[in-house]
Amino acid sequence: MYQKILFCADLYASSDYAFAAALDLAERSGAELIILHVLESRHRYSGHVITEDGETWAGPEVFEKLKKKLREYYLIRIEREDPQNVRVEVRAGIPWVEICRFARKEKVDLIVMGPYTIHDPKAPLDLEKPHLGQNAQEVSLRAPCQVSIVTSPKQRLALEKAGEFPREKKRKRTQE
Amino acid sequence: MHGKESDTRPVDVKKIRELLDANNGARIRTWLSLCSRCGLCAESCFFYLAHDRNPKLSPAYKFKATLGELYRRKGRVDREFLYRCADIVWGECTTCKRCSMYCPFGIDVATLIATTRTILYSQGITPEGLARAVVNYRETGNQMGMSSEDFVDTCEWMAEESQDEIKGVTIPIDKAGAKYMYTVNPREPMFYPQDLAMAAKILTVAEEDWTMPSTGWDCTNLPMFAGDRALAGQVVRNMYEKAVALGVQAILITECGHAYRSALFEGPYLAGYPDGKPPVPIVHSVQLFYEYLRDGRIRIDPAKKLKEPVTYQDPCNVSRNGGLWEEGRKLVQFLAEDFRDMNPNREHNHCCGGGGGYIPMGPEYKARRMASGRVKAEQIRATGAKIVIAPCHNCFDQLSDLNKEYQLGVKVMSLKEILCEIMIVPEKFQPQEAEREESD
Repeated sequence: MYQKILFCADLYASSDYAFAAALDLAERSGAELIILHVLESRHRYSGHVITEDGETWAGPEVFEKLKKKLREYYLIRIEREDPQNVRVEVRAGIPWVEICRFARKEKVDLIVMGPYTIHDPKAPLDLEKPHLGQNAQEVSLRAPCQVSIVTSPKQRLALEKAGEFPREKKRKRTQE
Repeated sequence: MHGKESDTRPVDVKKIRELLDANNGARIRTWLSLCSRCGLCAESCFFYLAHDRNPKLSPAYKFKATLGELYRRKGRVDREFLYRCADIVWGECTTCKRCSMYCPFGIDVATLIATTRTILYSQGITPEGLARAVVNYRETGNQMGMSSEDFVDTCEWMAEESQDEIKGVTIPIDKAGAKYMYTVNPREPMFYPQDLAMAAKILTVAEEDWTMPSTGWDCTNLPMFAGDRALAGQVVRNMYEKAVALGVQAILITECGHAYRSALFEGPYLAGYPDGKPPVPIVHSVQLFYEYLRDGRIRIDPAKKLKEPVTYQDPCNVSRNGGLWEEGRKLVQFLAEDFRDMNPNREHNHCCGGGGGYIPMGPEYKARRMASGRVKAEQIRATGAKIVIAPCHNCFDQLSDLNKEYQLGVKVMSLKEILCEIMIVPEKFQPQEAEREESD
């Protein structure tokens, strides 16, 4: 089915369901699972990126530290003790640009991602106003392969409550 | 400046002396001795105006306190002095050359500042953002450290995407004998790949014969601002030599100001061309887009012409130093119904505050960039414009930052962006309905 599945990681709980889905699909397909995190460029004119330690220049040390953190965060969620077919990658730039670029280069079959990134982890999750972030929108429009945007059940419930996407409208769109 | 406190390296006085001697020609000797401290340059400088007319920010003070002192002391200076110079030549001057127009003796302050930067660079002093860019140029030939493979793939990606909107769009790579070799700012493939797509759409609709080079595609030249003259020469030589090898008629420069400065008139000297001329003609996008509209190769949909008030940012290196201020205005007349010029304007326009390497110097300098940009912010606010057209990447980024800082409530746009929104796409370039549905 799938040979390469790309999971777009943001290290926040908002995309944990997306990771679970990507892992499940990869295991069932015998596909390679690539965990990619893009350090967002703070300014569009320099190599400065946003990290958990603040703004800094993107460089090998920053990348290695992040890779270690990604391994700790995601590999612990894989039941197999020594996952063979999992790769962790880090890039710097504009997330949707780098995700699409990476997907093209690696010829991935499927991109799995959460609906949006939490820019401020200290801010409470606003489930009453769920939305599709810019990166999810751009990737779903521009990717060279299938894209799966996975929300959490809580977010789905909030969507129904908020009534922003009434069932009727959704059904109409499906019929089209 | 970053690293100042931990910098205990000895000053290489011999090297400084060498550089002082090498530059001690008639021009610089005359300029340094001729300044009569009349003060006319001060009123022309936006740093001076933005900081309550602080005399230490007058161009005359800036070159006297740096290069003038270096000559006076015959290079026998300490690190503390060099860091004071660095603060002036990178933090208080964008080498916009406005002061030279107002100097009754025509002293080219930017050249004096650039010479000081070269001396500081020889002592290992340069802002971190520029130093990092220099490493990237050296390793990959471009300021963002992008591989040729990634660049070409990004071109292919953008060409594929554009075909949904404009039939037959391609980005021809290394096409020998093309009329134009289009060169870009690496920010485009790195951060705004849509810029490549927009250029491809415009050039396709204009039925232009063009190519994108797989190497030598970066027309920017940050080593020129970092003070690394040898590398600055190599960077521009890469572009020239690629153009000659492909046999193109001209090099087309993207909407970037300093790239035009480098390619058109500083580059030939940096690259060691004895006649001071580039080996092929250099054309800026402002010039080419104006010609397209003038000659009807691109036509604007009258219904889509910009209705909101529009102003035009004259990039220093496109207008004052590049001579294209009238072309810019004529171009905007095709695009907007309500054009409002800034005051002063054309070759007299103030620098936005992002030039001369200031933007890529990075966040360390942002607060100063915002403070000195007050002059530009006030100029824009006074026009009442809602859209600012900025045909230069550094201007674009600086104005976007100023827009937030001073709550100007404007939209900063590039020419490509506007052209793609409002140009008429002839029927032969409109994708067939079936193709559209297929791509949907």
